[in-house]
Amino acid sequence: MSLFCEKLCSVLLLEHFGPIVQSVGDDLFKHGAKSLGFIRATTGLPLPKVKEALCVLLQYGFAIHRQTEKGIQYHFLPDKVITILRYPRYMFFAKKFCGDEAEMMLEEVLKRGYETASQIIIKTFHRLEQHRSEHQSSLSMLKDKFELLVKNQFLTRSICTETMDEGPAEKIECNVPDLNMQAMAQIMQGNTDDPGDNKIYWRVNLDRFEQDLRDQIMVSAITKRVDENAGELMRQLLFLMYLRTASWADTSNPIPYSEIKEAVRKINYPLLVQYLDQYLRLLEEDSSQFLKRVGDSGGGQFSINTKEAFSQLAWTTVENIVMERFGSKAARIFRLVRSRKYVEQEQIQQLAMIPAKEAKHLTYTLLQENYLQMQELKKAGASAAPTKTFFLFYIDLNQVVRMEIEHCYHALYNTIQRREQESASNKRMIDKQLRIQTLTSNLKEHGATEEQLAEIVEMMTPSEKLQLEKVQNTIKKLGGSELQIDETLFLLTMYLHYH
Amino acid sequence: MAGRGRGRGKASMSINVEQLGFSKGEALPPPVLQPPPKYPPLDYKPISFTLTNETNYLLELKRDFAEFTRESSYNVQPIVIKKDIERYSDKYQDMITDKTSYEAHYDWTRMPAELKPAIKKRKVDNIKKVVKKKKDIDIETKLKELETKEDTQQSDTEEDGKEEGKNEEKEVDEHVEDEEEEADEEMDDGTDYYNNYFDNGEGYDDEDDNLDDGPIY
Repeated sequence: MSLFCEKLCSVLLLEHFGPIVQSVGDDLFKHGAKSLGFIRATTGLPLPKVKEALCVLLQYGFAIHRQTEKGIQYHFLPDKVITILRYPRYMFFAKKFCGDEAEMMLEEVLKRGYETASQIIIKTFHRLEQHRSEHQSSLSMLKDKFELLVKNQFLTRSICTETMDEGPAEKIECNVPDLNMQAMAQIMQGNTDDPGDNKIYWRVNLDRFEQDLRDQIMVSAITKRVDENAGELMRQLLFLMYLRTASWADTSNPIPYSEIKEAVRKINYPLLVQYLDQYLRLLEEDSSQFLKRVGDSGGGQFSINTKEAFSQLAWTTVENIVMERFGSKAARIFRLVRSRKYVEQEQIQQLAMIPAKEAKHLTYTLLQENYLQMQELKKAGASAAPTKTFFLFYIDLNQVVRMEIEHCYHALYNTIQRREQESASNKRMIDKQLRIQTLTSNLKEHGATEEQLAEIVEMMTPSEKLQLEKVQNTIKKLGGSELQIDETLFLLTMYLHYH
Repeated sequence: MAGRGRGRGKASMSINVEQLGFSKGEALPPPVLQPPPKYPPLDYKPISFTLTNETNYLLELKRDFAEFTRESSYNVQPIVIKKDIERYSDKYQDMITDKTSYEAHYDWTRMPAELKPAIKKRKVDNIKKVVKKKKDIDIETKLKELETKEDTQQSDTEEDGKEEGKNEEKEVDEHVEDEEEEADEEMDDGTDYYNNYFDNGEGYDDEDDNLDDGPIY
C-alpha cells in the first residue's frame, strides 16, 4: 500500500476518532499484523488507551483480529477506512430505495459499527420522534422497514468467530415479533427489558452497496450515452443478471430475449416496450460493449460484460483526466496511442496532425508523467546507437489506473487537510455563530421579543458575516470535491477489481 | 594518434539533435540550473462544479456522521495527566464528559478478552493511601526519636545544653533544624576544608625582593 493511502487513512481516523485511534491505525498500517504488546511498544501509548483504540477499530470493522499461536494478531483494513468517504452515498441510496426510515436505520448501524435489531429500531424511533412529531411512525412499521433492509441484503448478520449461526432469514422472523411489546414498554418507561435478540448483531453489507454503486455507474453511463429508455433497459438487464449470476462475475450468464421482454413490460416505459429490439441492438452494437449477443436461440441471448464495461469506463476516465491536465491536443495523442496500441513518434505527429515540435513536446510530457510508456526495439546485431532503434509508445492501462488511484488518494488527503485548516483557522468565528444560534433558539423558546432577537443577530458584524459565509462556502466546496474524487476513485477501484 | 578522431565530429552530442525536433541551425535550450518551482503555474485550471441538492444532502450526511463519531465515546480521549490548578469549572466539565469505562460499550463475547480494561485502578489508589499514612506515622515517630536523642545529648555536652535549654519551648521542627546546623559545624570542624591551604601568591613577591636584595659575598 502506498504512502498517500496511509496518509489518507490516518487523516480520516483523526477526523472521526481522534489522535489515539489515529496513531494505533498508523502503526498497524505500517507494520501489518501485530499483537497488542507490540502495538503498545511501538506507539508508546499507555496500554489502556491502546486497548480502547483497538476496540474502536474492531467495532467499526477497520481492523480484524485473528487467533494465532503467537497470541491474538490485529490486522488493519485500509479499504474499509476509505469507505467512510462513501457512507453518505450508501445512506442516500438506502433512502432512494427503501425510504427515509430505512436511511435512518442504516445511519444508526453505520454509526455504531454493528447493532442489534431491537436497538436499531428503538433508536430510529426516538430520532423520528424528535424530528417530526406530526408524522407518527409505529414500531411495527419500523420493524417492516428493517425486514425490508434485510431482505434487500443492505444489512447482514454480523457474526463473530465464536458463535456460528444459521441463516439470517429465519432469525429475524423469530426474534422481531416478541421484541415488539417489550420494546414498546422499554421506550415508554425507560425500563431495561429483554427484547429477545440479545447478541444478534447486524451490520451494513458493504459488498451489496458496492454492487449497487457499480450498477448505478453502468446505468448512468448508458443513460448519458443513449437515453433514459436505454438506461432503464440496462437496469432491468442488471436485475435479470442478479437472478442467474454470481454478483461479481466478469460476464453474466446469457439472458434470453423473452425474459427481457417480460421484465420490460412490467415497468412503465411505453417507448422502451415499443422499440425494445432497436434498443437492444443499439446497446449491442455500441462501442462501449456493455452488452453482448451470445446466441440467437429464442430471439437472442444477451450477456452483460461488466469487465469490459469497466475497462471502457476506466479508459474514458483516464482520457478525460489527460484532457483536463494537458489539454485537448495531448488527449488526441493519448487516444491515438490507445487505438494504435504501439506507435512511433513519427506516426504520432502525422496521424494526430499536430506540428512536429508540439507533438513531441506533448508526447514527452505524457511520457514523463507516466501516462505513456516507451518500448525500445533494437534490430538484432545492430549497434546501440539511438538512430538504429525504434521507440514505440504505448499505454499500460493498469499502470495508469493505479497511478490515478494514487492521485485520488493524494487529492483526497490534500482536500481534507485544506478543509481542516480552513475550519481550524476560522474556529473562533464558527464557534461564535454556533453560540448565537443556540442563544436565539433558546430565547425563542422563552418567548423573547423581536428586538432582543435582532440584538443577538447583530452580535456578528457585517464583515464577520461576509467572512463566515465565504469560509462556509469554501468548506462546502471542498467537501463536495471530496465526494466527487471518491466517485472517480470508486470507478477506478472497480476497474482494478475486474482486471 | 588514437584520440585524434574524436574531436573531429560536428557536435559533441551522442544523439542526433534533429531527432528531438530541433532543426539544424536552431539553438538548443540552455541547461536548467534551478530546481523547479514549488508551485508550478497550472496550464489548465480544473473545471469548477456547482453543488447540486444531492451533493448538499450528501455533505450533510457526511458532516453528521463525522460529528457523531467525534463526539461519541469512540473518540478515544487521551489521559490528562496533571492539571496545573484546580478550576471551578472542572467539576461541571467532569459531569459533562462520560467517565464510564469503555468496557460498557462493547459486547465482550465478540471482542478479544485481552482488550478488556484491567480493573486495577481502585486497588492502586488504596495502596497509595496506605503508603501515605505510613509515611505520616514515620515522620512523627522519627521526630519523637529525635527529641529523645536530643535529651540524651543535653546531658552529654554541657555547652550545647545551655543553648538547647533556651530553645526548648520552640517547635519540634526547629530542633531538627538546629541539630542539622550543629551537624554542619561539626562536619566543618572534622574535615580539613576549613584550613586555608591556598596560596594566592601575595607573599611571593616580598620573598623574592628579600632574596634579590643583593648578592651576599
